[in-house]
Amino acid sequence: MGMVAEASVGPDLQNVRLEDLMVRYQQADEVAAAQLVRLVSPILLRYLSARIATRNHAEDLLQECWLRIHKARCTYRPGQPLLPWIFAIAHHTRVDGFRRRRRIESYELAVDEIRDSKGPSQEVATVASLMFSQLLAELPESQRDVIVLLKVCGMSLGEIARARSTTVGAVKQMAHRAYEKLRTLLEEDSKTRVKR
Amino acid sequence: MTCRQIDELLDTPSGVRAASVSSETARHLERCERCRRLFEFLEAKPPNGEVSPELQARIEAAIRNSMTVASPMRPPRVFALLLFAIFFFIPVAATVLGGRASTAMMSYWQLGIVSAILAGGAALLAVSMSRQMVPGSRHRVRPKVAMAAAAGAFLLGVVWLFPWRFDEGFLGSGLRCMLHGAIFAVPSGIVFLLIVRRGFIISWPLLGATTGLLAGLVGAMVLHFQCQVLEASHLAVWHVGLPLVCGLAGLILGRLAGSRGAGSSHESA
Repeated sequence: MGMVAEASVGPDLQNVRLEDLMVRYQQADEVAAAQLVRLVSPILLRYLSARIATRNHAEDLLQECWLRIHKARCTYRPGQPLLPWIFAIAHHTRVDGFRRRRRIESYELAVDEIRDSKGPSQEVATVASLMFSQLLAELPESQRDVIVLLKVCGMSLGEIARARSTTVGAVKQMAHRAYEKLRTLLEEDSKTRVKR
Repeated sequence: MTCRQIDELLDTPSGVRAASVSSETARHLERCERCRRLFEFLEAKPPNGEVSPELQARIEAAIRNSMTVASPMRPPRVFALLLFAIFFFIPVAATVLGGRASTAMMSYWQLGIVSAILAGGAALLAVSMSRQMVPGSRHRVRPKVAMAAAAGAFLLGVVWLFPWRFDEGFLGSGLRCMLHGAIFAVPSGIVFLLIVRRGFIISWPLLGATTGLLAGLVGAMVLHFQCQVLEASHLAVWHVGLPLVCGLAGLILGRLAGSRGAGSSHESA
């Protein structure tokens, strides 16, 4: 429990339990807090980027998310899985950020955005990862969330259910609908490539 | 091996999945192109977000500036018990001070079953509220389902157990009844709110609705012991209506609170 996907951590931190770091963080251990931020931020940023057009906005959300985590740290109970707790806060941060952004974009377009509006692809280095982002964008938000949490964050169905305040059955249903939709999208994508 | 079984396999985290690909699974993936494409797509590791050192430093600095010891909050069950205790004691106090005129007019079935329904609904809502105080809590019953069950069971109970008669003064007596219940519901709601604010609220509208509904059930319990109009239409509209109106008020107040960013918890030093 609490082991982050290999891609996100350095070799010296791979065996650190996130829950232990969180307990030390609650005890005002700055080193543990910094380690936790370093370990979890990459997958948090990936999760927060799912619906966000620009990298700047995703980074703002990441910072806001950590401030909320900091404020809420007394609500984490030692012994409980940490990722559902973190991603419940992250989900709500993202929803709030999206709503705020929608209000702003309805009447202004910031200069930074014009320069920066390459979308999520600017963080993507490979064709495969661009395809991953594009296919996920075709899914409804709830299904996309489940796939990102399952695949990128390596969370179990039970942990995702806790993060989304729902039941395992509901998460499973969303996941299976997402798989069916992805099968269709992959098939269409394959046919498109063959025609080219 | 069917496509549905592949779905079950895909539900497991990546590392576990890779280790458990059996020969049967491999055969299905060879035959079924749709499943194979999906399996390969989900097995490939997408990149995580790259966090710049400047952003990392900014986040760490922001945390360091307000770093204090934060003792873990009490378990959710403690708050659930506290909320339920308040639900229980306010009607008890009300009947001690104001009497329980209706209990002599009801049968044991009516008195017992409706009391049990109200208590059961309150327990369900108290547990839900305590879970909503902690992000990522396990909800055995989803909050919206808990609210629907509490209100629905109350409505069904009164419709089933009490006779249908339409007396004069339906509106007048009903509004007086509702006001009487609100006198207990509103302060209860304020107390509940002071308790749940100890947590970190993810969704203020949802918690507001749940809190309002529980506060309304407090008022409904008082009415159950004191209101002498024991007809189904009156009970269904005014007694059941009280928690629903309180729940709606809670939802609206919750939306206002959420839009003002009132989501924080109290840090224990």
